[in-house]
Amino acid sequence: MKGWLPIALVAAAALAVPAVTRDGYVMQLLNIAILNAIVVMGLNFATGWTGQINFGQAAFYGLGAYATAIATKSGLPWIVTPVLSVVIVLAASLVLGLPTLRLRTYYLAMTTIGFGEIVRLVIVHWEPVTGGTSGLRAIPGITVLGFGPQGQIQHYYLLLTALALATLVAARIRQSALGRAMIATKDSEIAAEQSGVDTARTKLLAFMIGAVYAGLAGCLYASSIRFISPDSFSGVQAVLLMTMLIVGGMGSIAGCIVGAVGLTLLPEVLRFLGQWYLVLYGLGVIVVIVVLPGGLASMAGTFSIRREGAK
Amino acid sequence: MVSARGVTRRFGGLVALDGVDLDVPEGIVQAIIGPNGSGKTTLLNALSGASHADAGSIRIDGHEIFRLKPHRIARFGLARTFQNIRIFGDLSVLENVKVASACRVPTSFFGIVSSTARQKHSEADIEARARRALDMVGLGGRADHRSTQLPYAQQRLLEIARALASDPKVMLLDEPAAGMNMTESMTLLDTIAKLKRAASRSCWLNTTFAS
Repeated sequence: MKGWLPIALVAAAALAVPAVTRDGYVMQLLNIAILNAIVVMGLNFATGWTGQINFGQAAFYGLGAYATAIATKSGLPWIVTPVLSVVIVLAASLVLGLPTLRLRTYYLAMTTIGFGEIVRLVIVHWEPVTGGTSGLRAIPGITVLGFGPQGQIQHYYLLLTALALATLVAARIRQSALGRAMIATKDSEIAAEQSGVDTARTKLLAFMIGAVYAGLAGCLYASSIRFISPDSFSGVQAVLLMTMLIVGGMGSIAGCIVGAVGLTLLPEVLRFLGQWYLVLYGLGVIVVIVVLPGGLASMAGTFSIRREGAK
Repeated sequence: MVSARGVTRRFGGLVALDGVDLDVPEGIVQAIIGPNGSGKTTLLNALSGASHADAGSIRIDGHEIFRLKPHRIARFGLARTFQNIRIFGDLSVLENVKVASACRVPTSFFGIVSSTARQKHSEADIEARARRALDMVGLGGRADHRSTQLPYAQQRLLEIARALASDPKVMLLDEPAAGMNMTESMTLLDTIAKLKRAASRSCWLNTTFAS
């Protein structure tokens, strides 16, 4: 049962955060960090495990958020929005993935960049529905049968629960035939095929599961932050999500959380540097990639291997 | 068990395989030998679907597998190893083998996500098959090691275990003894003899002439 202790400690620390600070700005930032962690965990399926470069994750995030915002603002009950978001991102990822995933990695990278740009342009130009560059505000909050979280702290606990569920599902997939097939596909596509793995299907599934993570996170983003704009789901955001995955540790579930939370909070911590914060931010990312090619999560791994060696 | 007729493979103007006919009966060990560049690996790739033949007919137990995707051919009961080792470096030794044994055990996405009793049962079955295959090649004690930590000769054995775990009717081993010393090669031969006896399985070895 080793391995449970660190998880329990991190969970306890996360649950205790509102006891330390009740500052609305900090809580809002943490909520966004949690949502980013879910999206990065989704990106990890296709990119970290299956080895397919996906720059469309921010667009799926945006599709979920805009679908939710538009649906609830037009009077639909909140409860339908997670379903709606999932249906939309499933359809989009299927249409995008089916023709491109048969090809090699770069094609998916190119197609997803194009897809992200299409989604952004539609959001920016379809002003009557999407609000254009100024976005949508006063989005109805989360309510199920009249109950819903009130205030930042209740939202924080709700999102934390969502992250815990996302982590559980990711961990179960990793421990299953599907997760092993994903990693085998990345390590050697031909050896995976000859071991009976349908690699085309595995790549498509990884891509679609990741899109569902992003779509659901988008749904929660719109109805808990209550304001969305195209900037939150742009190509820059897609690159940022990829950076979170790389810095945290490709293929590591814990790494996704560390990378997403770290890189969401870091710019705020460095804000006192003014314009210089970007320089330090960039340098920090480079240092992590050079010193720890396996990401921050690989630190824990190196220590445990050293301990084994010392026995 | 495997019967091929008129298997032809061309690379541009070069005809690497020219109308190869062959039959591999059940329960034998057969070796194909030839100098470098004689087309042994090309033939193996054509049979396993890694690089399809241009023409011909290949049947396993009467099922036509010509131009099928490799994973379908694997499920028909043809497994192979690679001349240049291709283990899954990010997976443990046991997980490497579980990738292949999973192709004989049904799993569902719903089962995985909700961790049903049936899913746990399937996972136990996958693991049992994988452990049997590892024991067969003598790697049972290294199940939890990282696959890349294994020495070279054992990585070859791991590939054999992985091929074995998909419960094949015929195994194609491409240069299984490459890079092994005499002792290791002898152990390998014993292992191959054991595989054959275990399940009236055919083994087919690609081996280069020692010149």
